Amino acid sequence: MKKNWLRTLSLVLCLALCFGLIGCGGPGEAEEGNPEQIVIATDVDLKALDPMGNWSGACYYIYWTCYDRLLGYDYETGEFLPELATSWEVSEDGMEYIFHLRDDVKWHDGTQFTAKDVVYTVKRGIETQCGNYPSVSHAEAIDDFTVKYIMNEPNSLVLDKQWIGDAAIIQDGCGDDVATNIMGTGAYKVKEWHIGEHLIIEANPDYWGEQPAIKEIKYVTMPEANARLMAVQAGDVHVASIPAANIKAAQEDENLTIYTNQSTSLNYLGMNHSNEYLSNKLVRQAIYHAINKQDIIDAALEGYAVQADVLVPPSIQGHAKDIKGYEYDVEKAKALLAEAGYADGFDLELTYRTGMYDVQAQIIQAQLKEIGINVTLDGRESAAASEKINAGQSQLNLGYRGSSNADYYLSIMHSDRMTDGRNILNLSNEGIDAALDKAKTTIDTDARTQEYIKCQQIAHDEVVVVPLYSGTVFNISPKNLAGVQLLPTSGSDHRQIHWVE
Amino acid sequence: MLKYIIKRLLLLIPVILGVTAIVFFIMSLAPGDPALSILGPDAEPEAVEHLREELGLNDPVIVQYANYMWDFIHGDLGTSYNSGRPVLEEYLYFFPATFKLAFWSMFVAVIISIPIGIISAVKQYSLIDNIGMVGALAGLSIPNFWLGLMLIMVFSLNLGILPSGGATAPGAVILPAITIGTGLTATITRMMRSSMLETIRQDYIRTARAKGVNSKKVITGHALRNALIPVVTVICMDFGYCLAGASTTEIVFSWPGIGRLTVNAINSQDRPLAIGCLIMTAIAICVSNMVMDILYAIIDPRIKLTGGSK
Amino acid sequence: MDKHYDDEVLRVEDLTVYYETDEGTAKAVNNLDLVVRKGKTVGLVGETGSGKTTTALSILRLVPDPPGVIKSGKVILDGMDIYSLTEGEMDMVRGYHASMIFQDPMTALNPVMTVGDQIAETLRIHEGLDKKASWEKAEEMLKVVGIPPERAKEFPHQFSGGMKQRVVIAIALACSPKLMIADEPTTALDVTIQAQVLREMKELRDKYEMSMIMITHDLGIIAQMCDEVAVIYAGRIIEFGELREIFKDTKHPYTQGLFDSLPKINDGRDMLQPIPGLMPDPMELPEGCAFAPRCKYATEKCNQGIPPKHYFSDSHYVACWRYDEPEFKL
Repeated sequence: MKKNWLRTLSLVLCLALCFGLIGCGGPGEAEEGNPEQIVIATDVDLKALDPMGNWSGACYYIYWTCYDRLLGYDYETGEFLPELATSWEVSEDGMEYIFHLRDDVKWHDGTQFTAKDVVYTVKRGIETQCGNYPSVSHAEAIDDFTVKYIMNEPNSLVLDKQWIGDAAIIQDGCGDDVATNIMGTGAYKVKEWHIGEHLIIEANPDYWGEQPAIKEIKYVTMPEANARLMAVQAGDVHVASIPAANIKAAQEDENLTIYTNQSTSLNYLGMNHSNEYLSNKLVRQAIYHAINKQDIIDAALEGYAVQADVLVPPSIQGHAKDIKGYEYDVEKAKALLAEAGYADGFDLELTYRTGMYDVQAQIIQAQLKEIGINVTLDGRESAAASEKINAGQSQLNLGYRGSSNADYYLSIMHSDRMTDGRNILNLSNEGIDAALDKAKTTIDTDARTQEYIKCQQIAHDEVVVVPLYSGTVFNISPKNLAGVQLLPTSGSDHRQIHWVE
Repeated sequence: MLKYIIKRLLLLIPVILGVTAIVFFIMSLAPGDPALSILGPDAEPEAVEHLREELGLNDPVIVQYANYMWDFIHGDLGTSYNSGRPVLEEYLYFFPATFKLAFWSMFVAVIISIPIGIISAVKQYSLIDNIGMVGALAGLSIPNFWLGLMLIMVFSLNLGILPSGGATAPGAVILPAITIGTGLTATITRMMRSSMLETIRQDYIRTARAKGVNSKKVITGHALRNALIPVVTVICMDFGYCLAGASTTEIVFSWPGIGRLTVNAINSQDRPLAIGCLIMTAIAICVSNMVMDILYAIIDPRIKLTGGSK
Repeated sequence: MDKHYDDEVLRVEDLTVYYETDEGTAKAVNNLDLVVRKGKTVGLVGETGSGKTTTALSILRLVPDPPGVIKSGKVILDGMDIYSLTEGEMDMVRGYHASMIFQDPMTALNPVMTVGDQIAETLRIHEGLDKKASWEKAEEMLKVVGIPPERAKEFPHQFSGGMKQRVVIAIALACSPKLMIADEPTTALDVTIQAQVLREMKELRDKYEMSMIMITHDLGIIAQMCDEVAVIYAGRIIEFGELREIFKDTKHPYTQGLFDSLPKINDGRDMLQPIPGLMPDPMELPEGCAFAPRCKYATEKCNQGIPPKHYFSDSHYVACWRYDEPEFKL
């Protein structure tokens, strides 16, 4: 019949067109010459940039480039570095901190940076409860370039909080306008900002510090990860973040460099200590021995992560470098389980955030099956997962921590958590509580580190959680661009970016 | 006509009440704590509690709803948690981009589907008819997400002639408009075709031919205007749908429109913004429906706006 | 083939039209001959499915193709061989040399065009009038068919059935065609309206000296309007004659059956007398005379082939085998 073969013919033509489109794969030519302006793609819109209120990853790009902080940080040694503060002292009783400030710093609008800007920053920081001034009562200006923090009680975390991205020093009296009117002392200043489209910053010629190599950075919003990858390959964008799912594609392109923040984020398998099985230490040990961390890393992240033995990652002050995790040993795991009286195994539920831990959860499910534990997967959307886990209602759960100080990583094990709505582990351990509480009030870094190490040792002995791996954020750039620094709390410092050639 | 418009606008009120109630209550049932989302998962519990009080999240839902509606009547749709800007301002800032994209998407859809629909009907079972119908089916079945990425790959990556995202580069609207437009062509083409097929079988077409109107003019002058009536309905409805913001396409192409705004708001638990966007979208669609009814009455003299035929 | 006349307006010769579909071929019109002379009204009478509409459509080349196919035959209209014209030339013929009006006035007009515009359109096409002139003439045409000219700017749905049909007539007459083909123009109308419309058609026909083919199954209308009558059965003319001859001197058994089946008040009969059986399926016509299976006069001879024409006068002929026998009478 005439109509039938015509219909077939058209179907064939349409299919041919589709496959033809698919066949067009592969990146095109990169641009010649190194441009003055580089383009960086963010995954969310930059709409409000209040360092004391907006903390999505992309916001930090601006906090690092356009603002300065009192202190800097050396990731190798874990020491604090001078930045806006040239030197500082802490009183014996830990109730006062004195910072001596640089006198050659100008705000982007030309006015002089002085101690009263710091006083205002601290005041607003405490009012907005941004968390960077723990136990600080207020700050006073001793003179134009000296400022003092007065404490309510000693808290060793104060200095740790002064170098993180959002501890930016803001201008005196700026008020809530700071969210849309970026006025800092940093290496870059704002050139043009079309909300929802792009934000362009240019190098600050009056910067007190080293001039950045890149003269202009344009931040554009590209929510779709695949589009970001293609944009970098096409040369439309120079730096972009990609999720784990796109790592393989990025690896296959020889013209790309992949960066990861292995040093500062820690992913772990949490256990609810009130669960009838998990409350038994032998069971917890068995689970630890049954987990092959490298397999998880290879399957979910193409190998782009580092195994973790303790909850504090290597580059954070307080990391217990001598503690090694339990080895992968299925036989031993089975034996421990039998000793606990569960030779026949049992059922457990694993709660996790979908879109982030899907592959990891499946691997763990398979690994635990080997020793007879049947894991049901309870994957949920982010908020729903958090709600259940924080309410202490999960059995096994997957989560991560990322910050600038050991206390943040270890605090999930403090018994205070059982009652304050962040009850991930349902754990009450006197030794851990004591170590963490002591560390909080110990000013001396070495002594503090000892407490943290003590805490991690107990955690290891009691098998509180199974630390898995560190490394959760990935960025890509063309091979001839270097210097992308991925930092704690998932921000990036773009001041060191430069062309290599 | 004016009376009709006023009446339709007044009818918007119960619609808005209904939509706000539904949206509000559903969002309040959503898991997760907005205060926690804003402050971050490890915020001090006192800070979280303080923020909850401030945002009124501890009040019973009815009270929250009443407060919301009171503000709404005064033109205040609340403040976005994410950006701190008034919701209405945010929405109106991003709406023009969506409107532009909607317009061009419909343009693409219409210039493809109307001619193909007509030709398909007039030359039924020909090669063009078959390609048109299969193509329409393909357009409907191909997910926008995939098509968008494919277009970026071919035209931005390989050929380098069109931008891969954003709305400021010249020609930025082309690829997203094609992505959305092709998805819409399917329904419009089929509707045009079947409407035209039905129309050319009508008696008055035979009358026209019998009085000597040539076959081309019979189609364009007589059949088309009648056949377009249901098609115009579909086009207007699709335009309303586009005004809701084709979120998938906007995300793939980084197009700064309200589709993307709404999805982000919902994902990040920005309740005022999410609710505000949904309500404004409902209003936009109602207005577009009203325009459609008016257009309908203009095209077809048999339709009287106040109901029933003459 | 019919006799030739000097004043022929329409000559249909040996017209054969089939509808070729997937289910089979319907032989709608078979070797049909018909002549219409100037100023004369020929009634084309027959049952539903007899092929009268197809015949009419064939005259103006309006048979839908597919599935309709003209197998053979000639149509000469006003001296032009219709089937040798191009499509463009044919468009000029339709509505100008000959017009056609159809059965259902409710759907015959374009609902989104004003009535005046629909009349004016034909004037613009054929007489090249501009917008203003064609509109004025359209208003005049409305007057002619008895509709107030102010109503020209109204739409079809604002008119009643009878008025719509008058508009249709106005369109058909606008360019003063030589021939008007009316396919059951009043069947869908009330009886009283019917009478009005017919009367007007008669007046207009007389006024314009127009030939007409009146297709109908209603013998009453035939009596009222026609000069000559052609009776059509299974796609053939089986009897043709002047009005008086057909009514008073009926020759074909089928024609007789038609008259007999009319209810007559004075007759005193209790039951209607229909013709037994049904019209044959156009996809499966019998070999011989198509009416033979239902005919009370049929003999073996009637199945031998298509009956030839027997002439009783210059104008009156019948196609029936029994008239081979000189003695045969109904």
